[in-house]
Amino acid sequence: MLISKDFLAGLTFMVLGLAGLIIARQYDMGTPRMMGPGYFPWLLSAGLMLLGAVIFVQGVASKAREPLEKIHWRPVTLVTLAIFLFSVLIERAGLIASLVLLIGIGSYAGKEARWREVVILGVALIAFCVAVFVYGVKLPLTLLPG
Amino acid sequence: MLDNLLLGFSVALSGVNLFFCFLGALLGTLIGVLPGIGPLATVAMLLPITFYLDPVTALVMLAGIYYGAQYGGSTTSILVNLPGESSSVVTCLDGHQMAKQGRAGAALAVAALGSFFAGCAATLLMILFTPPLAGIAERFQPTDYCALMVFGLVAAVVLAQGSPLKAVAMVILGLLLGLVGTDVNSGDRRYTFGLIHLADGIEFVALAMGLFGIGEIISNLEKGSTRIVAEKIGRLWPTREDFRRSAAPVLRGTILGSLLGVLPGGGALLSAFASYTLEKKLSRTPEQFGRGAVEGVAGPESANNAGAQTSFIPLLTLGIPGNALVAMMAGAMMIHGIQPGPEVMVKQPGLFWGLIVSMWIGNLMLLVINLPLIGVWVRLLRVPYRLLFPAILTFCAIGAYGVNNSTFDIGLVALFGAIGYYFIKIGCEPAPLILGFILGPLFEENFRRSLLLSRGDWSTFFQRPLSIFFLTLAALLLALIILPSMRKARENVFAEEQS
Repeated sequence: MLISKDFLAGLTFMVLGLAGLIIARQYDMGTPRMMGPGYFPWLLSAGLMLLGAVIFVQGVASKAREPLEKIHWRPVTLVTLAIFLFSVLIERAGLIASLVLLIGIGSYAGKEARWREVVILGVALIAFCVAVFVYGVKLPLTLLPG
Repeated sequence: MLDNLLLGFSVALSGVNLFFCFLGALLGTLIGVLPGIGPLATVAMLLPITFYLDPVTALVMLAGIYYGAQYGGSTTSILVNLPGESSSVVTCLDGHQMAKQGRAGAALAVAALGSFFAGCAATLLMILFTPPLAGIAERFQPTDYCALMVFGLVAAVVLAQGSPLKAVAMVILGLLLGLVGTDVNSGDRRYTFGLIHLADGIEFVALAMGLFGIGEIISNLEKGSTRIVAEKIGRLWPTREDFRRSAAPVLRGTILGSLLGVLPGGGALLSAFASYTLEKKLSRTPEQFGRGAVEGVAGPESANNAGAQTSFIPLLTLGIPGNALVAMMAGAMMIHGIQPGPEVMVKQPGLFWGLIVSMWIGNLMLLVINLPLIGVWVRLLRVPYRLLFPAILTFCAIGAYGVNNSTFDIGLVALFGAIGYYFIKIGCEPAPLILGFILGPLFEENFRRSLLLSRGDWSTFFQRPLSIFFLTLAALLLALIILPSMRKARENVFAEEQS
């Protein structure tokens, strides 16, 4: 198959390098003697793009291609979603509500979640966090909405 | 010398530091035992907590986690054939075979005693060699620093696993990410996309937690769980024969580990592998390796502990972290406003000597607590991952918030978790990225200064002996990977690990 690990890796680095390069051009380059803020980023981005190209070519030309491992969508989507929701809710809905969502959604990112366990674990974890982080360490977190 | 040691002891033996040393060592052993969570992720998770601690205490605890994990990792390797920590992979080979032969206790004891010996020796080496090294480091010019960092980054890549080209690319990406924020020289904002939260740069803790903590969790969830069956422990004390056969491997492992640990990219993992290979080559009965040869446990276990400790030397003397884990320690120091480098020894002698002494104390604690607690560790292995990882998620999320009271940082954790997962899928290790991230600003500063001092003359990097030395070494290392014969040899070393 064409889309091997190296293919994607090379492509990724080329794109990132190019992006870095384009953005770096907007900053003052200066001279080697008096480097502007754009100089070093430009150098690095150029290097990244070059490396990306080499990796990409390797990926296309080489006979031994490491195929892309199967992407399981559930773990990555649910974990990312859970943390993101937590970040949105923690200041608006309070710690307890956001933890409920984090633990609830996060637990189901794995294949073996059992709802009874999730509930017990959730209660235990929330109690622990409230005790340690709010009362112990005194993080400025609101517990409940409003 | 004696004054320094006394200072070190007085700092290390304070109640708070003793407690956190113990806590770190215990935690380290715990996560070393539990597969699916390693010292990198744990250190990343605990970084926010270190905020509330003294800098010394923070470092003492984090260091404890590192070498504690080496002790803990051997337990699972021997009993369950699952490496709890990456450097314990080698111990699985012979350690588990010994366990199957009913000699788990002996293997565990040999591992613990060998590790303790190595820990003592490594501490002694640190005490003897860090002052002169720091002295040399003070004479470093910006060009020397640049050359050293290039060497360090190249070495970290070459000695690491996986495709070197991709690792270099990750390093460069890390360097770029390290530059995000406000440029010190000009005051301009770079790569911030107008986001005010990025004005001070990407929060290191969030990046680390996302890449290592969350990324690892996502990868683990994909794999599904494995049934954990532990062997019985049996007689705890090794036989006289075991002692006789282990003595030389322990000594060799310690020396090898101490040397390899100091190298950039070195540390526990490389040392353990090298020691196993060495012992197999030197043994009169190499066919026994893989079948329960006690030398295959004694050597690598000593090496990994020595390597873990001496990998602190470049950080404490030159201010340059040699591997991702020590880079986290550098991050922790910077969080407390301490710039790692040769001045640390002079300006913060309490921190410096206290840390070194506490490493020895930690080793002692580990020896004493580990052997009796092995039964407990084994029982803990039965905790299913599906209960463990939500807890890790929670601590990461709250921890990320705690650093700056910023929900943006939590979002960063989520983002870098997904990014870390993506990179693992395309075959790029996240560890080199962290190294680049930590070194980015420092590298740019020295690079700028070098060219400023030389008035734009690029040959300045090839003028001072030190910088020529490091650049040549870096070039040699690069050649090593490019030469096909060397490439094969390197692949073989890592292939042994995969099997």
